[in-house]
Amino acid sequence: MTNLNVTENASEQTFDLNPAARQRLEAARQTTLRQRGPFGFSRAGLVIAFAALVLFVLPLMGLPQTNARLISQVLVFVAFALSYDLLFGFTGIFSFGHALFFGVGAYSVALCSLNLGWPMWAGAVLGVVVCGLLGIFTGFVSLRVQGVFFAMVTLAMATTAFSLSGRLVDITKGDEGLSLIQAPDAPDGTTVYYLALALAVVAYFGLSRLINSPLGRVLVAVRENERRAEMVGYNVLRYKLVALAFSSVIAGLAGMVFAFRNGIVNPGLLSTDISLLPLLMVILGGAGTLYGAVLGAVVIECLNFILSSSEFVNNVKNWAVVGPILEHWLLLLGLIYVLIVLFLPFGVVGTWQQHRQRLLGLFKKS
Amino acid sequence: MRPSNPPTSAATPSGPDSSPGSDNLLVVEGLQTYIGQFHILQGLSLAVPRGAVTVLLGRNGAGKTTTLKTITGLTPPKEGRVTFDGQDLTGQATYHIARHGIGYVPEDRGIFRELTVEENLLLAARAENRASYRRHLANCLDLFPDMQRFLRQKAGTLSGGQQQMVAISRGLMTDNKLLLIDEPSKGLAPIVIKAVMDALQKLKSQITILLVEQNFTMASTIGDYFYLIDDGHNITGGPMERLIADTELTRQYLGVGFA
Repeated sequence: MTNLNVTENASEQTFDLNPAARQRLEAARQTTLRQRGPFGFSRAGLVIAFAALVLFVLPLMGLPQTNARLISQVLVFVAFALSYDLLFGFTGIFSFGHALFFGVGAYSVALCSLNLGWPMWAGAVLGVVVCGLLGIFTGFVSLRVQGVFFAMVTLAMATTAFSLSGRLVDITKGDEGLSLIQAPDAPDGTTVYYLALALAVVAYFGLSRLINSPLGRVLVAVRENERRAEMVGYNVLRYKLVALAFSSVIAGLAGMVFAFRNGIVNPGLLSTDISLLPLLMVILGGAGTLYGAVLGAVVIECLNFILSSSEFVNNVKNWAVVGPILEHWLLLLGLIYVLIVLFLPFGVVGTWQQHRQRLLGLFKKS
Repeated sequence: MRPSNPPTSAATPSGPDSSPGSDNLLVVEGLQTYIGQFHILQGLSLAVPRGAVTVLLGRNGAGKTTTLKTITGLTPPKEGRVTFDGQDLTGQATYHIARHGIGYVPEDRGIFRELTVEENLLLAARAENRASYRRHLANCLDLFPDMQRFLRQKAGTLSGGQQQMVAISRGLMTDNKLLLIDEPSKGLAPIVIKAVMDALQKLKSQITILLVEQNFTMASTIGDYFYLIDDGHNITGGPMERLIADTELTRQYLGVGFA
């Protein structure tokens, strides 16, 4: 679908315009011209582009390996959360089994290289195709039901894949997992780092391009009301399948990079934990904004890293009262989720957008 | 308390000339529609002449909205046929029916609240019609000059009357042949109703309209033909002048003491 850029379209039929109508159209054009920042980026896009630039330069200035590994993990989950936001935030599809695509992406690279002796890139290409088709298949099977029922079907499919990966020991080596011997990496982990960075950047700008295209507009319409979208002449099922295909391909790619980073692929990648992560990230950041998903992924992965690090746990262990709670970091994370759902139901970004005026006013007064 | 029905044959349309030779854009025959266990349309038939405004009248729950929904495929009929411009549309998917050239302005306006007005119109134009976008937009701005002020506004923030303008405009963003409009006056202030009425008057020359309207003044001013329906089938129909003259009929079925 080509970009339909509103009122400034050159290719158009000739038609009679009376002066009044011409004037009105011109006025409409003035009010509807898109306001864009430098280089055609939106403001959020500029921030993301700047962050990406910093992350690109960092390893050149000597980044400790642990930090590089943390950042690549964060970036993988940024891409994963973004893929989920396309479904949940923009199309209104509530999936509970997004780990299916994450895990299948990872497994297809591992299986192709270990069992078939394929090079990594070939496995990755196959993984992309498999994930896309799997996404469409999932949609065909389950999109006839909606809301929670769809979520249940996706949960069932992911759980099936999870147990298959554990049971088919001959192929997957079960819980032991497959190690990627020839994982493409320089000793200091920069290859994976740049792979993850590239994936996150492409996912963000690709998706924001998609969202601002006519296709994206239809997806938002579908989220708001499927029947209305049908009434205007759109085949809703087809648009949902397209969203699902895009989303699952990105999720699959994220799974692959994650596998490279870890050097191992195990059933854990298909677990419900992984399915829940992008949902939490998108809810925390704010659904349907893209940068909300980025924010959520960064916050949750960093929290995860800090709260579970041995330094933190050892430090906190001896504190009075809060010590025993803080030691169990999962409990703390759970508490944070509950607080966010209670007090920021639209996520950090959504709440900011709602109360921007008021909050800015507060700053000005003080 | 239901008045005793005058003798009618439900299967044969008794409205504007529905004989085979006449130029009807939409012909609906013997519709039987169920919603859940409720039998809503019970053999409804009507014919919508090309280039005119046909008004569906009847009390609450008579099946007016369901008729429109059945035509658009939102509530597919169990029996009966919907023929539009010579093509059988019965049982087709809603998006397919829309693409045949039927615009629908539902009772709740059905705009996309989180999209801007402009995005609503772009969406309705659909990407394949981008060449004619400006022509249609100019036409809509001609009908509703006010709309230009809130083109960039989110549709959910508009007043009821403004939303109605957007909803009607949406039906005009493609070369639709027929516009189904459900109670455009509902919940609007009298002055806004007047504006909508004026717009519909202007629209008459562009497009065939099937209008559901409870507001008798509006219906009788705009309508060329009428159908009176009750209990899911048509009681009678004909040129609007006949209804206006027949005070007995209007009192019995519409509860208005007109004239």
